[in-house]
Amino acid sequence: MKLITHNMLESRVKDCPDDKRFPLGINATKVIEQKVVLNKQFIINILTKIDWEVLLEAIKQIGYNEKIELPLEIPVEIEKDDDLIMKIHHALLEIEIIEGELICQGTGRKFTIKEGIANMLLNSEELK
Amino acid sequence: MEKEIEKEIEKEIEKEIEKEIEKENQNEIEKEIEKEIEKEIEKENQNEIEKENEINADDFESKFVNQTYSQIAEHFNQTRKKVWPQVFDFISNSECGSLVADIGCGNGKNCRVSENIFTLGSDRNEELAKIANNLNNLPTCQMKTSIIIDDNLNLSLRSNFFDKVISIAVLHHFSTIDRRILALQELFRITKPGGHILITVWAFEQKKKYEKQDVMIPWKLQKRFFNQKQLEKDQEQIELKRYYHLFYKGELKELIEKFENINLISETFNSDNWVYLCEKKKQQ
Repeated sequence: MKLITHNMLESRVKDCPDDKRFPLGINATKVIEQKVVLNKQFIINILTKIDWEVLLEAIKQIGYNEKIELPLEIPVEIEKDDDLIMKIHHALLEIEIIEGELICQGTGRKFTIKEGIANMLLNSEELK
Repeated sequence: MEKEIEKEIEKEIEKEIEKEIEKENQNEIEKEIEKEIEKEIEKENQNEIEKENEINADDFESKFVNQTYSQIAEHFNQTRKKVWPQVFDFISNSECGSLVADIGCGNGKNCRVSENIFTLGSDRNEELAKIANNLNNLPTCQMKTSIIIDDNLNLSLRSNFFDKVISIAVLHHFSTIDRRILALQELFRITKPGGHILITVWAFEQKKKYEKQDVMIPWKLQKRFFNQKQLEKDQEQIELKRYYHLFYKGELKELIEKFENINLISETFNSDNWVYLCEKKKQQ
């Protein structure tokens, strides 16, 4: 599971307060890096859609904040900074969480990540 | 004398004819009975499906959709490689940096169509999700994809988020109208205002004629795809069943039109499927 995916997931547990659904916490026990071809325009355009703070927090939670240093805010002239674009590309698309869990911040419910796939299924009592 | 003989003969002939007619009637009655019995059996099958649905649609689908897919996943994967041109065009005609959600992604064949987008593939079935994810493990990949296991009726995805959402051959596996509406509701919820949704379902009006809308479609699983337990059986293939609801023309249209924030752009027939292109209205 790529870090960009973490930016799309929210908890649908019945008892979770609405303001705690997003983002989910991460506890990663196995992380790998996998090369993805850079598509500069893709990165520039995707930055308008993702939650930057959530990305920074995710990097921290998997212990990569020293390996990938990103600014607190997205610079205005991002398209001129190839170095930073490469870093963002790496963070969003090349880091794969293989084993671990995602944690609902409202209820503590854990969702297992196994073989790179997060299992988000709920049982019937947890459904809205 | 002769006349009497003639009369006798006539009588005989009449008797013969009567007998024939009686026989014919008898046959007809038997045929009628046979038809009645067939109808009863048909009704019984239908009742069975309905009864199971009443008891618990979730358990029913779990057995006749999810569990079947678990068993046939690898075989299914071998037979589902080509991306439909209509699906390919819908996805590849996306702005660079688009986010696409493929809900019910199966073996993930539609998750790696364009290098300009990110695709989130989601399937309820773990075996299919694993297959879909493995396709991603190429050393250098131009495609950007993640696979999750999730339920179309309760998607763990953010609202108003995806530029495009696809539901390819998924909605026909839901066994009640309420569940079809709920599935649609979730697809529309995760789509951003102004975003597009492409849905395909099996059509009732296809070349092969079906007598009813709710059917069990057999899958002949070949021996080379058997799991350990199945290998104990001395058979070359086993038959497994998948539940389908075959949609009439306009049936899904009616459900989509219940959503006030959705514009139905088109309903088209393509290779035995009904195809729906929708747009989520921009917020006022």
